[in-house]
Amino acid sequence: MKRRVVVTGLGAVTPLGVGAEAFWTALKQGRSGIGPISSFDADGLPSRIAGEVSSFDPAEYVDPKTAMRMDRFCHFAVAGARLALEDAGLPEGRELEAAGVEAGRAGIIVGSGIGGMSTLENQHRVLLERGYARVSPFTIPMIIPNMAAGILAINLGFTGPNACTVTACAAGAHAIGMAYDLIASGRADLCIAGGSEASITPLSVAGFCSMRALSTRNEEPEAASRPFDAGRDGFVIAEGAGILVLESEEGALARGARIYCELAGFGMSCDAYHITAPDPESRGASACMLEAMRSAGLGPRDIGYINAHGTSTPYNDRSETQAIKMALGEHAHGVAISSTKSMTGHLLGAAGGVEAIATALAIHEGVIPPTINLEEPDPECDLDYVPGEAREAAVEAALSNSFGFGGHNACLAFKAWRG
Amino acid sequence: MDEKQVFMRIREILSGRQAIPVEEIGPDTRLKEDLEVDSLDLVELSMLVEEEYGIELFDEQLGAVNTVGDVVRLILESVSARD
Repeated sequence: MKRRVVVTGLGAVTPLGVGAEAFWTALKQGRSGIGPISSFDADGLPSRIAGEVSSFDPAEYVDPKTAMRMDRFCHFAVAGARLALEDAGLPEGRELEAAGVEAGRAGIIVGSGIGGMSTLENQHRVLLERGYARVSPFTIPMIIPNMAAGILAINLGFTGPNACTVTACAAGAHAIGMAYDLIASGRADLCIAGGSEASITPLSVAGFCSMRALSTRNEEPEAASRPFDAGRDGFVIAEGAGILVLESEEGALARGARIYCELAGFGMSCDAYHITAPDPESRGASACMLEAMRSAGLGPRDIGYINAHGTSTPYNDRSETQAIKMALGEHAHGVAISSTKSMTGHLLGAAGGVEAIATALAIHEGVIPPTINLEEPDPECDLDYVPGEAREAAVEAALSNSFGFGGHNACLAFKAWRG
Repeated sequence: MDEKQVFMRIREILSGRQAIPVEEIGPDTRLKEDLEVDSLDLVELSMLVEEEYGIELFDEQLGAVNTVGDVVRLILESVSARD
């Protein structure tokens, strides 16, 4: 029998602030976290704006020696996980067992779209300029995307199921979905799950620019991410981590944990259509949403909110709108939809993690964060995207969509938890 | 270049990479047990040293070092052999 899975801890490292509370406050205020790129000289690149995590000191979360041997995406992951555990009122290491959680049944699934991109670029420069013998022995461990999950296990003492999902911009949502499956099927009692990304680097930005995927609204950074707006011209690259603590309902109740909501279902599918473009008929995305609802025991009319993938690219927003209509039928016009990427930018493999946090809080607090910069809707995007301002609403069930290059689709279904 | 100079430099590198104050590092300090130098740290140290002193260190030589003083002696021997 499938066990119920609940969300008990939230850890956000975002361009809007570090910690779920700072992140959520900014979302409700409709604040943008986008600004000019400061981490490298972006002069000459068509897109020179990003959602950077500022005022972040890895030393607050990792010991200095370990921090030097980790890429920035791992710093974010460790920070996100520690914040989520603290939020869940859970200790780390040996003390975890004293809190009633068996280390061997505590898992970690943390995804990343790209992994240690800045390390790759730095060490490639070393290779070209100084030869192979000068390439750091930490190059590979710092680049590989699974190292966030590995390092977290070392830091936290979790010896249960451990893996990394690498499905581009769906990686964070797939990680949470996989953790959901592990707990629901009884293979783990507790999981840390989400995504982490730190790819605001010259090669990465140049690559996305070359695809014409990024917004070039450089003079108005805060207005650049404008999902569903007729004037949208691409996504804004961002960085950070979104990590959740998921537990079996029985485990959470036994330790008296605060429960934000239930993670009730998960859908995944593939477009099987094109390496980067969404299927113009939105079959994969709609199938994924339908599967999430089916596995959660929800019908279209139960859904009160959808945290859209909403990247602000011409392709995605049109195709996702169509997918929502296909999955929800007539109710598509009655559901509140928003893209929090309008404020955070696109955190790539971490997006599914931070958006799961936003969705969980929307249910828990009864507030739907807005889609900012939506001033002149695209005629093909004709649903209720909660433009401009947050809206109070009792949300009984919500979906969070994430779609990645490769045609990977993930949809998480959350429900209010009533005990 | 004398032994003291080399020691001061190695101590500085180890202090930076292992995040341990220089005062806690002496010639008899053990790399593995006291400074938590693992196999990758040792490779990295050897690369820094090779570049700085223009020498080549072999894995079997590195495998035999135990203390900070051993590293210093290995460097001095290698520099002397090179010259």
